[in-house]
Amino acid sequence: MVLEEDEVKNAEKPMSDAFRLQCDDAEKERIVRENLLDKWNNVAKKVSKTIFDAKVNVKLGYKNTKFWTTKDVEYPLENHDVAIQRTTSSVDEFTWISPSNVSTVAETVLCLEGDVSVRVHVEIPNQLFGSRDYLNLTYAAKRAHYACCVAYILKAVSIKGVEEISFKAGGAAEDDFLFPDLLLTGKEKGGVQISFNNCSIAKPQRFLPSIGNLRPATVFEKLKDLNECATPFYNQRVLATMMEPELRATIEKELKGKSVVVKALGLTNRFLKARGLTNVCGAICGARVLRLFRTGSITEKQEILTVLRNIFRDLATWDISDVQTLSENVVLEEEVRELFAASFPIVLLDDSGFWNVTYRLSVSDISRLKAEIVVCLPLLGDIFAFETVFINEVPHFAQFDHYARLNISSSQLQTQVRSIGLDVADDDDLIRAFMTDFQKKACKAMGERFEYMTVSRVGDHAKSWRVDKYAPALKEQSFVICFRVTKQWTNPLTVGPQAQTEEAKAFQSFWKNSTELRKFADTRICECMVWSNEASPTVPLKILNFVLQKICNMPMNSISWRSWDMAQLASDRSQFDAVSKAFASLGATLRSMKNLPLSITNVHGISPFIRATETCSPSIFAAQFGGQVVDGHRVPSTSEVPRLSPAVVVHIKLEFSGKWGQDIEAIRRLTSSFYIQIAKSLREKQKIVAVPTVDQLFIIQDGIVFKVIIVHDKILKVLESSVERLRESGATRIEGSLEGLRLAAWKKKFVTEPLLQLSLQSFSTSHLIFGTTVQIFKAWLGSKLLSGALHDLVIELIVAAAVDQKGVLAPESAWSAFVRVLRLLSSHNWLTRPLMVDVASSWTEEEVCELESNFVKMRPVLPCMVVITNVDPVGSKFTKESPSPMLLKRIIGLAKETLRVLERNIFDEHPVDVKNALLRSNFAMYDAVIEIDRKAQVRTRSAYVDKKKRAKVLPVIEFDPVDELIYTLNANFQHAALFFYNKYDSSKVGVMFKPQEAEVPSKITRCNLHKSLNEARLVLNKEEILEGIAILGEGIVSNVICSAKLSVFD
Amino acid sequence: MVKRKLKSSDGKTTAKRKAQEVEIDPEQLRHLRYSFGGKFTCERHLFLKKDVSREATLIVSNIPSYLPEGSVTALISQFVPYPIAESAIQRSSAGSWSQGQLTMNIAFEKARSCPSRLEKLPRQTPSVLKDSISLYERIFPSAEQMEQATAEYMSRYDEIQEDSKREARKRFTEPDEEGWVTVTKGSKKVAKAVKLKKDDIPLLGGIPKGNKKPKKVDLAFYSFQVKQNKLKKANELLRKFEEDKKRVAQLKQARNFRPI
Repeated sequence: MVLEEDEVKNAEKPMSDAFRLQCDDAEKERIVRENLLDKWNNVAKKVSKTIFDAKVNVKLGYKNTKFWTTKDVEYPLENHDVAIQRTTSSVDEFTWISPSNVSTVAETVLCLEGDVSVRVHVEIPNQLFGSRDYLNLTYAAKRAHYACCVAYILKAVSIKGVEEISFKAGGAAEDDFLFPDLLLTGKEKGGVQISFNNCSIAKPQRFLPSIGNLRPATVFEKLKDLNECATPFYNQRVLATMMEPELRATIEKELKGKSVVVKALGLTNRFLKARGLTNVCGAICGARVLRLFRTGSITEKQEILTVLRNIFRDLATWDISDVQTLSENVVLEEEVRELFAASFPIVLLDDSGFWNVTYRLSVSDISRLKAEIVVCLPLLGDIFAFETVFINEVPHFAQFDHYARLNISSSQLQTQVRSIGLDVADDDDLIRAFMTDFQKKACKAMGERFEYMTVSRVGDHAKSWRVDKYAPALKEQSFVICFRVTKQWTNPLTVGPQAQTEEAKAFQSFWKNSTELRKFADTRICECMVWSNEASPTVPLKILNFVLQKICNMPMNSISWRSWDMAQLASDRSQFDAVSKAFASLGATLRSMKNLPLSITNVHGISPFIRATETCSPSIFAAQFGGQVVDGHRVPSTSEVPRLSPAVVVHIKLEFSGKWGQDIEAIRRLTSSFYIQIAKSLREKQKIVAVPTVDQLFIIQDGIVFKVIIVHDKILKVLESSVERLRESGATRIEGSLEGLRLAAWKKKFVTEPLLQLSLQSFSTSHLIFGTTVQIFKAWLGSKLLSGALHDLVIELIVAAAVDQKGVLAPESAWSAFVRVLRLLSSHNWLTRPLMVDVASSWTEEEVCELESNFVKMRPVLPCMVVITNVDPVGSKFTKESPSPMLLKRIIGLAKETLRVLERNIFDEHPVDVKNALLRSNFAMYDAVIEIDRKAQVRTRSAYVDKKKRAKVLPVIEFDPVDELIYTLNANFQHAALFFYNKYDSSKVGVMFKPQEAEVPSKITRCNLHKSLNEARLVLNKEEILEGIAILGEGIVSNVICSAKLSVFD
Repeated sequence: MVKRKLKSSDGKTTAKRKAQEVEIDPEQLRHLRYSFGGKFTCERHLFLKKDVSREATLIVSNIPSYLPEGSVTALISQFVPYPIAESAIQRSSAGSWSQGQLTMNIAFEKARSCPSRLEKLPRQTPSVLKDSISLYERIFPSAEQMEQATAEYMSRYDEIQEDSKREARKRFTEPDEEGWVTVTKGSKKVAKAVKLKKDDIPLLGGIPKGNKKPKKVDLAFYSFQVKQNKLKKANELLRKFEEDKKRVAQLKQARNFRPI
């Protein structure tokens, strides 16, 4: 065990100056500028003085909620009018009395960039309260009147620098509309927040979870018959108004001046904010750090990295089953401890021992926090991961695997008031109570299917509003339920306890007697809920619907599934399984061949079909029809081009021999004899269709065509020695010579690419979502008519980088993986940073530094997209030719656009047609459109394969006339036009004329594809280009339409 | 200097202007209008210019590569009463002469701009489909053909190998044209034998034991050396710090610089 800990510590990154500098930089960004803080401090002082000195002649009954309208201030609890009318107090009248105390705290420890800089705590005088005003909403109503009066006072005087006075929902999460604060803001960042409280209305013991301070009948008349019920949540809300300012002031007081701790706290808060963990950010995080500081786990003398690690470890090991306190000095009675543990899932009590700082947190919040911390903890200290961990914000819709949207209105919940409305103060609170209840039930119903689930409110519910406006009414609310899934997600069964037990009865009653008995392989007989016959992505929605309708009594249409199942864009998994199976058989057959002069030692599958990263369109199986049969293989003809049959590339190596010679052509010829020999043997002994050619051997194994290539290391040596000879002869610029080019091409094709493909192969086995995501990405690029804009391997590398991003939880669904890909494309700074893809996770920090500095040196000569891998340290091997800066810009733009659509799909009221948004091709923007003849569209044909019939003839392999056409068109017209097409649906090709070629000076060097306009100018001869396309594309192109909708042939 | 008389070919051509012969600047770019026949009626321009580097030669540019061979010379010879001495393709906009727009040199003096139709040409033009099908067919020679080609090549290769060996042998024994004989060092280098003791295990690439251990020398013998060493260490640290600072600044700059 000790050894393991040591190992973990050894894996940790050591502290470095660079990391310290990064932390200092981040701290500089966080802290409010000194002059700005001074300014808000002055404002706060003026505010305090104004409130103290104010003499206002107001007198009103505290139940009068309309009074402030005449003063141009709207009472913030207007929505609670009915409940307020039902309250009683021994002090009915509200008059203005100066506060008993006003304290000012300039926050420097807890503030984040743009946060409120100064807080003013106003203590409402005791005279305004009766002896039992802690009951019901009396305290809240009087507090709101006091806030209105202060707003009225502040409105009357003009304070320099203050532009607007507004109410702001109170509480740490700024969502408590019952206890609003006042907020003064100006043109500059920051502001002054004024909170109100009276700590003397009752002793803190009055707010213990077992005591009821809110009578159900006050809020809901129909609950008249109910007596006092415990209101733990409401009690904490009231306590929060008193204790939260105190906690904040304590944190400020104890940590101020401890620069290392403050820095670490600032960074932790930043990390939480960037990950969307805003409910833990701020006071709760501050409380945890304060607790650590008090116990001595973090000290001022430690390095920042150590402090950060200790904070992260503390959060990662937060024992939520334990009732924790901020200070060891707080001694809790066992009874109190149990009370809190029973009422709240997470308990962290403040110094008073009565206020639970984490009263709003759920178990899921902590699970998510822990999951995020665990992936980031090993990266602390890594300067290249600093941005990922602390700065880069991950949008909500990219953090989870699945999403559902739930619409709830308070009117729908009126029937359930008796069960969920006992600890609620208003409609908003009722919805909150329902959601807490729903979450609990959903966790019970499908907890094994997800790691954690979070619920976030959507819509434009303002957290602050001007004092002359009413508070927003929250009678209807929408929530997005987000899931981080486990492998059980699509499980068709919900397995319950063994039959005939007490638990089984409880299980049955929870599922409303819809369960079935199932017998398992280990002879257990269990109660089960059966959702489907096989694993299906629709199962979770069915369960959620069940919980909502049958258990929570809500209408079916209140929930809608929002993460569209993207996996349907990828090919059927069974096809790839067939490839793997056939490849394994072929490998065994080849390795066991005995009658060859040299035996086969290595068999490597170098194909995207083996790692499931290429769509099998139309089918991976060889076509059994089409084309003319010539000498054991089919050939296409101008009248009939059969559907595409892909080939799976296999590289084999032979045992060593010194007899190959030194001539490449001789080696090639001798190798072709090997192909003939292998083919003959396979045909005779295995009865397998095998057709040799000069450079490869085609084999049909289990209906799938394999292209077998013998790779000789000898050729590499011969090529290298010829380059060496050239170098020795004193030649310069060898890279441009024929020998240099041949060596580079050979290395790329037979060394770099296979190595990269093999590492991607192992990556795909460890990341199951990888293959599907690559296929989706390719389909998306195709539908945007950008097939060919990115090299296939670059596409895979980008997906690998997005799926395996350090410091971010790996995606588990195709949706989240694809969203990450689009985010990476659109947010990566391609100009100033390379994309580092360490598939084998083998780089050290020094190596990364070296690669980065090389990139900076070489940036001017590198292409716009640089992807550095283990086999390509420069990062330009696969991006040199494409994409061009213009295409990259277009890809980034399209990625942003698609991300917006996907985001809208989750957050909008109605789901978007995602399939259409992803796969729709828009030809309206192109100058001309080439229509492809149906017979040349070989990827969209019927893929019928008679599996009983064994293929006897080699089909036409990888013959796509449209690919050829695009290649030829690019070669012929590249300098004047660009061609955009979709590899997977090649019915149309878009043509865009280059604007810079539209009109050029009359020169012989610029005249290609132009016609004379006058003596001095030439114009682009578009008709000539379009006619050229028609001539070259005879048999493939059916029509060429230019944007004026005129056919060339008309 | 060659002076060319061409009719103006802009859109404002009138009967009157047609009849009139205008003297033009020989350096200027001229063009010849033409079109394919049949359904391909689009107006195309061949651009003509005097080749300053060669006597009596024209540069003809903007020739589509899919235009059948010989058609340009045939077209031009229709309008020029001088015989064509020589014609050759100089370059292509696509790098390959079978693709892109070609540029040709034609050796004669005068040309006239005149619209023309190449009626029969489209039928002879190459098409992607035909080309790629024939290419596909060529990938699959029969096994006999392949074997025969291999045998032929290998016998030729063996012959060449034998010749070169013979040639090499000859160089060592017989004097060449200038009377020189190549001589080499008679003895080959022999690796030095290392005696291994009983316990030594000869590891691949390892150094055999028994080598003298390097003597430890106290580098800082004099006090100034101690000072120097300290200074060196401090400078090293400072340099590393500066490097770190630069790196962090670079990362930050990269983060904030987003022109795309």
